[in-house]
Amino acid sequence: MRLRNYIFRRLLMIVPLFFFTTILVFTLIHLAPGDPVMIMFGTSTPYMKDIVKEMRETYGLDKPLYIQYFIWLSRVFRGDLGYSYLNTRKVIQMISERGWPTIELMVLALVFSVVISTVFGVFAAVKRHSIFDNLITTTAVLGRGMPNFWLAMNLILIFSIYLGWLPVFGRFTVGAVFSSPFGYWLDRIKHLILPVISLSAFQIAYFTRLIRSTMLDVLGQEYIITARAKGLKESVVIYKHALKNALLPVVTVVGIYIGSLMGGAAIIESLFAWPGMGRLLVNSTYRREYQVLMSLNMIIIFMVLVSNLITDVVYAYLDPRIKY
Amino acid sequence: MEFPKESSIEETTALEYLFSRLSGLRKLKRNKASIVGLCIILVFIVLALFPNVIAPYHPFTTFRSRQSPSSEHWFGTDTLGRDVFSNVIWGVRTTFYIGTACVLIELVIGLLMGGLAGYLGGWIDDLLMRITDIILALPTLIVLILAVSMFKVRSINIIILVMGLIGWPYMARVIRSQVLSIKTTPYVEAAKAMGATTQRIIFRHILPNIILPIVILITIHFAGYVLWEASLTFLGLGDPNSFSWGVMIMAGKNVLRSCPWISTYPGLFLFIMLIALQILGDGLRDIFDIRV
Repeated sequence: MRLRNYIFRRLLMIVPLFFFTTILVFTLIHLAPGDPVMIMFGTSTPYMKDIVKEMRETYGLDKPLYIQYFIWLSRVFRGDLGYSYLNTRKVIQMISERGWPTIELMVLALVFSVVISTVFGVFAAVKRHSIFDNLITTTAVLGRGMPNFWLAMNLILIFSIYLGWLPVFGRFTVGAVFSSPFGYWLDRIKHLILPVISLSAFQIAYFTRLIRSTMLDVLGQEYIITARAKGLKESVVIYKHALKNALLPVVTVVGIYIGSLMGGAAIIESLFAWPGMGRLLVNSTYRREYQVLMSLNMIIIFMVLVSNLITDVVYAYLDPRIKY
Repeated sequence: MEFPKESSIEETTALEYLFSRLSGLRKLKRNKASIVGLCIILVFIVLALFPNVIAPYHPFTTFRSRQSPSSEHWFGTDTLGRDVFSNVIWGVRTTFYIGTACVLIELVIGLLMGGLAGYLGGWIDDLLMRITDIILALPTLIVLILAVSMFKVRSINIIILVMGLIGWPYMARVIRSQVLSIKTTPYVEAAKAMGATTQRIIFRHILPNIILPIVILITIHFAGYVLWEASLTFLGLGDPNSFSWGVMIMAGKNVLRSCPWISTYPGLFLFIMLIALQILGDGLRDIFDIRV
């Protein structure tokens, strides 16, 4: 019951946050010099003044800013995200076809980083001060300082250019004909490897360190000694008693990193020409696509908030001591 | 019976106190990794101070373009024929400029917001912390991309300003929690009871005690700002006229296949700098056992 109240309160928090962020983003993008019409026609077209004026009126760009905001708001509440200025496509359509590749990339990166770091972190903690532990810890330190775009470029250089094993960009080979579904999926997976690794490298390094240190912490607790004294198998002690508790802090951190993962996705998508939301966002900022930008931001911020909320709920579920 | 006035009590000044706290830096010796980090940072500081002595060429000197690394040009030359090694060395200064400026902005806002919230409490605390929470909830890089792209002029100062204005919430939170915990300590209450002014309490009693967590946070955030700038530049939002490593990496992006050295070496320096700051920050945190 208490938890339900908590979730309700947190969901209520989204309302002021929604207004704050949309107003912030709206003001930001409209105060900037240049508007979509200018991008369309360029600045050096004095003889087209009438057309430019007409276009501005058509799009409602001549109205005062706060009226434009309310028009946008009322449309959103009616479920209309508007149209792109440049190709007159529906924004919702553009985003929905870009959303899936980003989610695919982010979820895979997240799963990959959690799995890898759990394996490495637990291993390093159990074999403390061994050569593996030192190796893993050092790699984790190096990984935290690695800029993801630089890592991605080096990976492209090594695996795509020098070795020729993996494709350089895209989500699948354009125009390729596959004889079997297996070939198609292999192609898809090949395209995923480098982006997922570059996106998750930082998280892997960070989570590994975290899991190692919490695991060491947990392994020194009394209930672990009790479990061992009971004569339980070492694997049961580690995986059933220790790991469950060692993963707790990771849950919180995963929630926090969803936001930064989104930012990382923008960079990685741009580099690998991945047809996702991050790349759409970066491209839309150049083109002053107000409608696309507003909707994208709304969705991204909503995603971040909801994932934070889920994190808290999962945390409460995992740790019965937590009360809201 | 007469109570002594507070000022008559023998007491260390803020500066003396700071030194006595920082003398704990000697403990650094026990943490080898952080020594390495500190040394690398010191080398970088020297590079930032004297690039004209260390770099073999002036950054604007041009040679035959796209030469691969040789004894003459250690890191090769870029597409415009500039010596990559010299550019990287000159870039250290830009990097320090970015990091320092951003950290200063963050510090000013963080001290104001966190300090006021922690010291005054009540509804001011609530209000300021809600604002902090909201900004903390935003996906930083996304907001940065938006904010920076909205300026027509690509200037490093604008990027710094925007990064500083977005990066402060964490600092504010740490300062607030530190102030909150120190405000209720017996010595602050004693000082209050003896009639010390607010100014005196803040500058003599509270500030010296929260300096360490701030230093640690600064070390880590410095790296963050440098990385953000490089990331923004990589997305094409940087200042093309600045000598930042991000610009150099960006410049080599499109010729990665034929001349990888153009972007690899600036990236390597960026990588080394980030790691040095990280391990120094981690080391300080471990030594003083402070959670930030």
